Amino acid sequence: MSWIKRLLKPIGIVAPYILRNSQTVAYPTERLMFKERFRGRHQFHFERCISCSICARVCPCASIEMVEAEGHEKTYPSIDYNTCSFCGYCVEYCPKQALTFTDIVELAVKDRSELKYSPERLSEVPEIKDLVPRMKRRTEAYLTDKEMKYRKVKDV
Amino acid sequence: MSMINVAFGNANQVQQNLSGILAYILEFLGANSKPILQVLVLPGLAFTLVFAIIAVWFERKFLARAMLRVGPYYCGGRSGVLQVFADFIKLFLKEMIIPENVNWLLFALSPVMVSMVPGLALILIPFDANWVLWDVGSLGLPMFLAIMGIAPLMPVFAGWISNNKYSFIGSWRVAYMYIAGEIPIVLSAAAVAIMAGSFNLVKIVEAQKNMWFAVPQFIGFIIFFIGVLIESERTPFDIPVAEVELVFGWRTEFSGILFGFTMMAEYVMLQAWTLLFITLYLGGYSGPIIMGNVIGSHIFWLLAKFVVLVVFIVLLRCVFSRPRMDQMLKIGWNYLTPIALLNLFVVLAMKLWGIY
Repeated sequence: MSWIKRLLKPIGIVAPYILRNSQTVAYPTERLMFKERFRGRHQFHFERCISCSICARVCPCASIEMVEAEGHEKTYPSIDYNTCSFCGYCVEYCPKQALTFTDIVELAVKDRSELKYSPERLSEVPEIKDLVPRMKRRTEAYLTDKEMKYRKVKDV
Repeated sequence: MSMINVAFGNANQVQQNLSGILAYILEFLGANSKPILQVLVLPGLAFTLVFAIIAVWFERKFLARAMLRVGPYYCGGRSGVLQVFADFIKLFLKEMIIPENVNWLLFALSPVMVSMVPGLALILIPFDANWVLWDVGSLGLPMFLAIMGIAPLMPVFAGWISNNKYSFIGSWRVAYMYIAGEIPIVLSAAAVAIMAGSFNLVKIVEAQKNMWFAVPQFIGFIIFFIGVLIESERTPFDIPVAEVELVFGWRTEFSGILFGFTMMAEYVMLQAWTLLFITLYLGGYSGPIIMGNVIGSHIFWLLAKFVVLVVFIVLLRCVFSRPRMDQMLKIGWNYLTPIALLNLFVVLAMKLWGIY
């Protein structure tokens, strides 16, 4: 009779799911606040960088290339997001914290060549409202003892 | 002028004839208001279409809830009710591609036939003691099973007329599956007819005044329910369609509104079999039995049971995984059919020895 139990048990497991809240966020209108350690697009700080090129050497995907930047003397990292795997080694190994992560994930472009970010472009972080024009509010995930829930943080 | 006079008489006569036709139509409508209402509303067009629309929406929304998603969202506010209509308009406006070397008339007709045959069986279901569209008396149950017996031929025909190997293979999978499911269904329905002492669907409902047949014939009840799942191609037995693995089986070549018809056929099939299931095992239109008394027999009770059963069938879709074709045939022929036969013999013995 164990097969009857095996047939009935999943119904008992799945049925309560109907009453639970949705675990998804309606993305274009509301967007999650990611945690501080989230690995999104990089931000580059010109004033901190000492051009040691450790980031370029440590990058496992060979996405970082040291290039010259206008108005600056030395060479600075440019990141090719075609191949970047967001492993975070560059941020981890940087001795001066010149590369940091932001929570921007909206990297989609129409031309692949636009995915190669110059140091100037890396140093500027656009407003999230410009990237997602339809966004109305930002939400945040938090854990209760049973499930994950979302609460509104602020209106944009 | 003379010819007109010969044909229709003079102006007064024409007027008289016209008013006579109008009066005749009004008289016809008045005398046949009940069957017209039945054809248009309850077992007929409106019920079938409204059920298909609501069921598609409900299924998507319910499955989304079970998977902790939101489901259709943008059309019609948060509930997404208008999504079904949007899909219908999309299907209707899409190009209807007819393959080469295909008889286009039969090709265009076959999806309509697929959804029409189970719709034809609906007219035999008693929605109330006096609300049967086609009251065939003591032929009700055999007639229903005979009409539903034609149903597996329609996908085979549709797959054959598509002139495509994959459609044809898919259609034979449907035929395999329907036959494996139909024999246990017929055997357990026969057991019900023996217990009720009649093939008349109204009398079968009346025979359940004391106790629903689901209780004394629990095995038949389960077998018939699994048979309903197999026959209406519901998950876990949606093998011929198998959304993920196959290219929609016998429906491969149908596009646009023809595909919409094949999708609707699934729901009409579910509707017909579920209503028969309720009629045979769950007391049909009679209300719940409390202290040996039936609380009010009304169409409402049939529809309430129908809704509960459909919700349960949709719930099963998000619970169970799909068996393979050979496993399904094994379930049908190795387990369901012998148990249904055994059930039939037990009911016969009970009837002969007067236990029930």
